[in-house]
Amino acid sequence: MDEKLRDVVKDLFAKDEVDVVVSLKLSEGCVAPHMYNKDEDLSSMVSSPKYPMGIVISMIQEKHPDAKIGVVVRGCDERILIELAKRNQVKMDNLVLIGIACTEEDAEECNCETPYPTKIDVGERVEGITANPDMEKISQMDMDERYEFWKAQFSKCMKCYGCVYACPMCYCDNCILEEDIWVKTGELPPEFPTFHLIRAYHSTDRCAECNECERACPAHIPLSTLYRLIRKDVESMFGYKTGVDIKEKPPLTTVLEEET
Amino acid sequence: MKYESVPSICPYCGCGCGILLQVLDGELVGVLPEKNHPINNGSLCIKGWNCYQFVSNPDRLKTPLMRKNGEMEPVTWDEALSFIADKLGKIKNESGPDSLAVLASAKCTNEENYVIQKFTRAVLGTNNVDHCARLCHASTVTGLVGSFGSGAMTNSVPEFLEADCILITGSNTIEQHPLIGTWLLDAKERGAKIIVVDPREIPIVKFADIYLQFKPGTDVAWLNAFINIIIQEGLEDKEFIGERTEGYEELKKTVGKYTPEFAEKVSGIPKDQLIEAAKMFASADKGSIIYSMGITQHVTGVDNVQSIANLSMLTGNVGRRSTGVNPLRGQNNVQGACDVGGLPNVYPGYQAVADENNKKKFEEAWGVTLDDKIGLTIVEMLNGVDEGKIKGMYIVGENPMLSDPDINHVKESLQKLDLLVVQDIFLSETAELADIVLPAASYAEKDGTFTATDRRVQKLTKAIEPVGKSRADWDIVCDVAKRMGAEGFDFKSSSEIMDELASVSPIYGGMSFERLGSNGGLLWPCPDAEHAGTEFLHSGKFTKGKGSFAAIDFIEPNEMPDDEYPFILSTGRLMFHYHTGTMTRRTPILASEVSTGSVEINPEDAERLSISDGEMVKVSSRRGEIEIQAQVTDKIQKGMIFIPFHFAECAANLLTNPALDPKAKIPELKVCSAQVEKIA
Repeated sequence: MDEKLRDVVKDLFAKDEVDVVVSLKLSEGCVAPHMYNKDEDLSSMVSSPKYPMGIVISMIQEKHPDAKIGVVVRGCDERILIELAKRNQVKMDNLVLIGIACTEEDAEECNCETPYPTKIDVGERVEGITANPDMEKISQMDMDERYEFWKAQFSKCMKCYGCVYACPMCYCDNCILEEDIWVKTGELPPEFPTFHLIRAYHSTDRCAECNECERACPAHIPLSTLYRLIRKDVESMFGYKTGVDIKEKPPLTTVLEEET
Repeated sequence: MKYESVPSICPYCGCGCGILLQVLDGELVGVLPEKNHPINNGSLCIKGWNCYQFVSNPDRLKTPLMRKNGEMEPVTWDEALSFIADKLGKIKNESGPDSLAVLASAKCTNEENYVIQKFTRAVLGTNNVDHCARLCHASTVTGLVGSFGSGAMTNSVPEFLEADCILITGSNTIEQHPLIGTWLLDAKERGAKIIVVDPREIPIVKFADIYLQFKPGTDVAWLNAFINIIIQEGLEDKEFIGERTEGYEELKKTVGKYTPEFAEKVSGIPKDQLIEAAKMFASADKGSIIYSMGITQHVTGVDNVQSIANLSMLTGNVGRRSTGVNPLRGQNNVQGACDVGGLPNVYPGYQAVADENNKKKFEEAWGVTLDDKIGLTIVEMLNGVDEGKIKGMYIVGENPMLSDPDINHVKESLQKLDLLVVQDIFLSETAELADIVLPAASYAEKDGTFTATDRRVQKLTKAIEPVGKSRADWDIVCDVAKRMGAEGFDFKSSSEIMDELASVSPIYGGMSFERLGSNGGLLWPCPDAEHAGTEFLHSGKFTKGKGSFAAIDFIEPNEMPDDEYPFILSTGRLMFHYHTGTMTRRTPILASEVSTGSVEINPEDAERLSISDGEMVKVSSRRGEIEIQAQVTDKIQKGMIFIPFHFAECAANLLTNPALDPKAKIPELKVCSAQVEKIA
C-alpha cells in the first residue's frame, strides 16, 4: 500500500501537478505528518496511523494560500476538508487529493460508515460499519440512564482540551469552553454537563467522524458515539449530510429568510 | 515553504510523553501527540498540548545580561563568559574550590547535566553540585538504595495496566502525572482494585475502591500498622521474605507495636478501613505501589520511603511485572539529572564519589585530579553562604527563589554571594538577583535526551533555531570550561556527549542517539549495545543482593500545630500549572484557567473564622506571611490547609519549613504549622 502511495505521489510530482505533498513520514520509529517536496526521497512515506490532516492543511494554507498542495486523504480527511472549505478555512481549488481507502481493520477501529474517499488512488474499498452496538446500547437507555451514563463518563475528564485540539473542525481562535461564564475555569473535572454538551452541540453539523477526539482523550470517553448520535438527529431533522457536497450549506451556520 | 513534525518529549512532568513539534517555515506553531507512543499513545494533558507556547514568548532571554551599577545591561557573550571564567577562577584560587557551588537542572537534557557536573568536578574542583531532585525525591534515591540498591522506579509505566491492586499514597496522580493517570483508569476498567491513601480528596479518589484520609506526616504510623495487619493475618509472602530479603525479624518486632487502634489515634484512619485495605493489597497477586512527594517531602522522608519498600517486599511485590515501588518523578528530566551525576555524592551512574576506585576511574576518564569529599546539598549550599563558606554560585535552569523552602532566607543568602550566575530561558525570580544572566535555548531548540520517571531515556530533536542569541546549556558551560583552560569540553554535539556518558556510566552503557530512536527510547539499565533495556528492576535478585527490611519507628513532623499556628500547611501543585510558573504562567490558556494561587480550607474551619470562598486572607508561619484568596472546600480535612507553590505573589514557600531529613537532606515541604486570619 505504501509502495503504491509513493508511486502515485511520484507521478504527481513528475506531471508537475503539485508543489508539495503532505503525507506521513516514518523516521526513527515515529510516524508524523510531513511535507514532501519534489526532490525529497519518498521512501520514508507511509500511510498509517492516521493523523488529522485537516489541521495540518488549514495551518499551511493560512500562510500559503496559493501553493498547490497534494494531500493524502482518507474518507474522513476528505469530508473534513469539504466542511472546512464551506467555512472558508481551506481552499479546495488549491488542493490535489490523493485518496486512500481504509482497511477493514481501520474501519472497525473508528466504527466508520464511509471508510473511503470519493476517489480512491491507493487501497481497496471496504464496506463501512453499519451496526454500532455502542450507539444502540445508549439509544435503548431511558433518559435517566443516559444521564447517569454520560455523567459517569464525563467525570473522568481531565480537561486537557484534547477533544478540541485534535478536532480539525475546531478552528475558532477563541474557544468559548475557555470562558469562565460558560465553564468555570480551573476545575477538575470540568462542570457537567456544560463543557461536553457545548462541545457536542458545536460539532453537530461539522463532525465528520474522524474519531480523533476519542483517540486523543486520555480518559477514553466515548465521544464519537455521542457526536454520532447527534449527527443522526441532524441528518433526519435537516436532511444534512456532513462532508459530502461542498455546495450544501451547514444548517447551523445558515440563516433562513424567515429567521431574520 | 517547509512544514515538518519534529519528534520531541514534553518538557513538563516525568511521564515522558512523545510529542510532535509542528514547525512551519522555521516557526514553532503547534504540538500534536505522538500516536503509538508507549506512554501517551496519542493523548496529552493540557500542559503538553500547549507546551510550544512559551517558547516564542516575548519575555524569552535573548542576550547575556550583566549587572553594571546596579542595573542589568545587555552584553556580548564574549564579555559575559570571560567575566564568569575570570571570576570563578579568582574565587577558586582565593577561597578554594569548595567555596563554589553549582545547581544543575532537572529541566535540562542528560547531556547538559553531564557537562554541568563534569565542569563542577573537573574544572571547579568540587562536588558541590546538586539540583531540585533534592527537594522532591532525595529521600527516594537514598531510601530505595538502602532497601533495594537502586533508587529508581522499579517498574515501567505501561505495566500498571496489568496490576491487580494499586496503592497510591502521596501522589496526586491525575493532576501531576495525567498520562500515568490514564493507565490507572484503564487498569481500573480492567478490574484492578485501587486504594488511595492521601490527606486530600484528590481527583483519583473518585476511582478508588478504598479511600483513606489521614493526617499529614503520620505516614510511618499507618504504614507500620498496615504491615502489622498483613503479618497478623498471615498474608505475608513467606517464600519471598525467606529467599530474597534480610532484616525481617526486626521489622516484625517493630511493627508489632503498631496496632490498628494506635494508627487510628495518630493518623485518623478508621481501623476497620485500614484492615480492609491491608487485606485487599496483600491478597493481590500483582500489587503495585505509587507514591510521590506526599511521602518524600518530610524530615522522615527516608523512613517513609523505606516503609513503602518494606510493604512491597513483605508482599513479594518486587522484581515482577506490574508490581513494584513506583515513585513518580516530577520533572521531565529529574531522573536523568540524578542518573548523570547532578548530585553531590555520586558520579554519573550512581558511582559514589567517596569510593577510591570510582575516583580513579573518573580521574582517568577526565584527565584531572578529583576530590573524594561529598559535596553540599541545596539547602546546605544556602546555609554555607550564610556561614561565609560559599562565595560563588552558578545556577542552571532552577528557580530556588520560588521552589525552595523559606524564600526570605534564600533571598538573603543569594544576595550575599560574590558571584551569582543564572542561566535560564526567562528572567526568573532567581535570575533577577544575579550578577550575570545567560540566555539558554529551550527544549525545542536543541538535541538531547530526557529520562522519564520509568528510567525511559528518550531523544528530543532540535526543531527550531535558538531564540535571539540564546545557546544550548551544554554549549554555554563547555565554553566557560574552555575559557578556564580546561580540556575535555570540545563536544561538537549532544550525541558526542551521550557517547562519553555511556562510556563512563554502565547503566547508560549501551545507549547512543542512533539506538534511542524516536518512539519510546530505552529503559536503563542498558549496559551494552545489544541489551534491549530493562522494564522492571530486581528480577530474581535485588541490585544490592538481598532486599533490606528497615525497622522504623514513627516520629512526628518537625513542626506541629500549636495555639499560635494551629493549622497544618501542606504545599503542592495544580493540574494547570507547573512548578514556579515560568513556563505555564506565560501560556495563555493555563494562565486563564488558574490566574493566581488560593489556599484550600475546610468549610468548618472557614466558618469558624468567618472566611468565605474567594475572600483574601492572611496566612502566616514562623517564617513569613502571605495574602491569598481562600478556597473553601471539603476536599481538605479540618485543621489542614493547602497552598500550591507556583505563584510568586502568594508564595507558599515564604511559609514552609526548611527542616531537613537527616539522611537525604530533603526539606519538610509537606508539613509545617501555620495560621489563617481574616484581613478585614
